[in-house]
Parts: sequence; structure tokens; C-alpha cells
Amino acid sequence: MKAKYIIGGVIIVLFLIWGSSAFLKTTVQYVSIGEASRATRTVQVMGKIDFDRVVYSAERSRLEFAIYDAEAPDKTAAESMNVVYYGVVPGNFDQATSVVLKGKSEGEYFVAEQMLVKCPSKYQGEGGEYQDPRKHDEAQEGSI
Amino acid sequence: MWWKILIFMAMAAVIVFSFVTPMPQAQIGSASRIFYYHIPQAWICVLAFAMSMVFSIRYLMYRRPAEDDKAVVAAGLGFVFCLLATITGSIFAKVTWGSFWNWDPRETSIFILLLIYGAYFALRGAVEVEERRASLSAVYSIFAFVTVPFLIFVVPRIVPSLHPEDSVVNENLRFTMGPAVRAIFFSSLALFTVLYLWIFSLARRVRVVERFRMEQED
Amino acid sequence: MPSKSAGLAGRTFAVYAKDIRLELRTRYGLNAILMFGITTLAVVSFSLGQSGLSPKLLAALFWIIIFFSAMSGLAQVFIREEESGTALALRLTADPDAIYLGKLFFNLTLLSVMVVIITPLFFIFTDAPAGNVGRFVVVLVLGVLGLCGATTLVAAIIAKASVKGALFSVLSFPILVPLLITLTAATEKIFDGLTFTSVSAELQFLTAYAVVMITASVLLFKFVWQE
Repeated sequence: MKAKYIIGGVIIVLFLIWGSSAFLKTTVQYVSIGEASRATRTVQVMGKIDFDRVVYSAERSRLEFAIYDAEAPDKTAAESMNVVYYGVVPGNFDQATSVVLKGKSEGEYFVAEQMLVKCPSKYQGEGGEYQDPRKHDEAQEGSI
Repeated sequence: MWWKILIFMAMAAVIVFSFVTPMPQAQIGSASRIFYYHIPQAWICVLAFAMSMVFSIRYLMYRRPAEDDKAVVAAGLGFVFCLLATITGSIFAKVTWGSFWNWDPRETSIFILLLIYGAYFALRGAVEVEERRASLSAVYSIFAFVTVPFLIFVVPRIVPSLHPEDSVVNENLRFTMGPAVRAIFFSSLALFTVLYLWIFSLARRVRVVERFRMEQED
Repeated sequence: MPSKSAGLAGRTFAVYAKDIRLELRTRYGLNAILMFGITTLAVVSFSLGQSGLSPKLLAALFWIIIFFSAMSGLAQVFIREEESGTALALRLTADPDAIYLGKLFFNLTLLSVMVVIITPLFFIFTDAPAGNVGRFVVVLVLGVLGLCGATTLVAAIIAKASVKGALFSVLSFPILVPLLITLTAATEKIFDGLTFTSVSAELQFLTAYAVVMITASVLLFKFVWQE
């Protein structure tokens, strides 16, 4: 009788871990900006935000901006594309060093369903009393 | 007695320090101080749920009414802290994301936790025989708790989330907070836990007295 | 009724066969669940019109229809025993494991029949893009397993409660949320025409969910049934 509960408990724990880990290892491939601007299926793309081209309409909660290739030597020569994003803008969008977008291309815009903002780390207290170089540039999902 | 005074003073100190020390996150401003309260409340919510499940298992093993009392008290407190975490989280969301509620996966998870607690008490209300109420609600409590890891780990990865996953530790299991912030945060966490355990033991004793009086009246 | 000496499979089958015979005689469970499903489907397609719905919306609607139909019929297996007073006889003649598994297989049969009838109607009414049929069937099977695995124990719990009312859906819904969210996500991807590898995480989760819920139910059922 007791063995039944032990075996059952072990099965539950193992499958809980296995099931919960299902989404941890999903490797999503990044595509280049050029490919993303032609993507008809959902893809993931990374780039730098062109802050000169950010337009936000609060009543429609529509954010429009452009991203360009982070690898390129300078902004004018880099591949870029127009992006729209509907929804709540992460609070640290303005500090973002780069951005990860998931979505697909519709017409001249890349419609982002999900936006991850990469920016310098936080919860360090004001005045930069605690600066850890490792923390720089970590991916953070939006803002707290 | 002395330790109650100590808890009182320590909590007062944490509250004061949480407001006078530098802001935990300069980009958000002073509102980010709410995280000193929001995360400990969410932690107590899960802790209480886990305790309720453990006492439910013990009830099914030993059939002692005292275990059922403890499971109910833990669930009741868990519900209160769950509500507090929802409210503080909602205020925080208003400040940083611009709306009180937008079905972010974390908001979904905590809403489901509230529903589970609600269902637990609805079930207890629907069963009149005491032993039957105790064992049915114990089974439901265990069964529902089994799904909590799925709620915490799976839901936020299917639906895009703005909620940070790395505000305490990052993916390399390193602390992401500065030393001052860390000290206040962990003091708050420890004190909330002690406070919860204290309320838990008080509420449990109230139930014992109630049970005794009901038996006297019968 | 089965003798105690028969194997677990034999005893389970005896319980299952008894319920199937009863169901064929009255067809109460199937009628309820099927009529509920068809009504919901008709209302949905009637109010939304035929074409132009996004895969996301279609996937969500599909599982909402299945969820509510399941809620309307799956509790019946245990309520029937309690209301007709046959629970005691069943308790004396069969052991909890066999009863739980028999009832689980009965619910699986009931929901499968319902899904087999509703799904083609859904595609006819809403003009949804089927994607790959084989992949869709795998998600359907895992969905039915998860739904029945999680709700059969809840059905046993509420059969013992003195006030039943909406208790079945109140108790089931919070437990089913992770399942329904994942099912919708996987179905959306398949409607979108994506391949199996892109839903592998969802399939892994759905399998784990069904295994965990059924195992937990087997362990816990005794405490509900003997109450």
C-alpha cells in the first residue's frame, strides 16, 4: 500500500519537472532584420531601437518605431525595418540598449506580438553604488 | 513576549528603511519601493498554500481534526496574502505598465490561485458532515496544489509577460540587487514569514477554542 | 460484478462495461454533453459569421466549446451513483482503483464521442483552416486525456457534497487553466500551419499534465470514495 504512494509520488514529481521544463529549452532562432521584414510566419528578431523614429499613440496604445542591425558599423548604413507594437510599453523602453521582437511582417510593418527590452540591470539602488559589469546588457522582460 | 516586541520593532525598522534608503530602481522611481512588500506577500501566498497541502496530506494519513484545522487556517491566511499581493501588484502595474489589470501571465497565475482558494472554501461550504468536509477539501487542496508548478512555470512562457523573472536572482542564480536593497528585501521577507507563522499559530488556537466550545454546547 | 480475484484490468473493465450498458440504455450523459456542445457551437458560429476569424480566436473558441460541454456531462458518472443509491453496492463489490479507472475510461469514451462529432461540425460551421489533420488529432487526444484526467476526481468530490449546483465547474476551472491555455496555444499554431517541432514543448507539457493528474487522482480517489 505504501509503495503505491511512493511510486505515485515519484511519478508526479518527475512529470511535474519534465512538463514544467518543456518551455525552458525551446530554442527560438533569431532571424536577420532583412528576413524578418519578409516573414509571413512568427519569427524572433533582435535589433537596436532608432529613437528618432519612435511614435507613440496613447489612446490607441500603438507604438511605432524602427530597429536597425546592431552589428552594423553605423546607423545610416545598417539594414532597418519599421515596427508596430500594440499594448503596454515596458517602462524601461527609453533606456533600452536593444530589443527582441516576436511577430510577423504585415505590409510595410513588422507587427510585434511580444517585445523584450534589453537594458542595464536594476534593483541596484540609486547612484550606481553597486556596479557589476556582468549585469550589463541582460535581457529583461519589459520592466517591473 | 520579548520576541513579539522584537518583531514589531524590526518590522517598523524595515518599513522606515524601505522609504528612506535610495530607490531600488531609479527608472521607475519611488513606486518601486512597493517591491519590498509585494514579493514577500506573493511568497507567503505560495508558502501558505504549500503548508495547507502538507496538513491536508497529514489529515488523510492520521485523520486528526487538528490537521484539518491547520490546513484551513493556512488556506485562509494564504487567501488574505494572495489578495494583498494582487492589490500591491496591481498598483505596481498601474505605475509601470499603465493599467491596473491587463492579464499579464503573472496576473493570470495569481488570479487562478485566488480562484483555487475560493473553490476550496466553496467546497467546504457545500459539505455539512464535518469529517467528510475535512477529507474532501483535503483531497481538493492536494489535487489543486499539484497544478501550481504548471501555473508558475508554464503559463508565463506561453503568453508573453512583462513581469520580470530576474528581480531577485538572474538566470545564473546570482543576486541582481545591490547590498542595501538586498538587506532590506531579505529582512522584509524573513519578517513577513515570521509574522505569517505567528498569525497562523494564533488563528489555529482560536479554532481549537471554538471547537472546544462547540463540543461543550452539544 | 467482478470478483476480487480478477486482475485490475478485468475489474476496471467490469466497472466500465456496467457504465457503458447503463449509458446505452438511457443515453443521458451523451445526450446532455452532445446537445450542449452543438448548442454552444451553433451560438458561436451564428453570432460570429463564417469567415475571417483569426486562428487564435478559432482555437480559443474550439476549446471553450469543448470545456463547457465537458462541464455539462462529465460529473454525471458519480452523481448518478450517489443519487440512485447504487454507490454503496458498488463500494462493496469493487475496489477504489478499479472504480476510478473504470469511470475515467467511461468519461474518456463519452468525451471522445462528443469530440468526434463536434470537431467536423466546428470546421463546417466556422470554416477554420485545419492545418495538418494528424497533428490536430494528437492535440485533441492529449486534450481529452487531460480534461478527463483532471475532472473525474473532481466529479467524485462533488458527488459527495450536499449542495452540487455549479460546484463542478467552480472546482474544475482553476485546475484546468494551464491545460486550456496550452491547448489553445498548440491548436493556434497547428491552424497556422506550423510543423510539429514548433509545438513540441506544448505536446510535452500536455503529456506531463495528463500523467500527473491521472496519477494524483489514482492516489487520492480512495479518500473521496470511502467517505
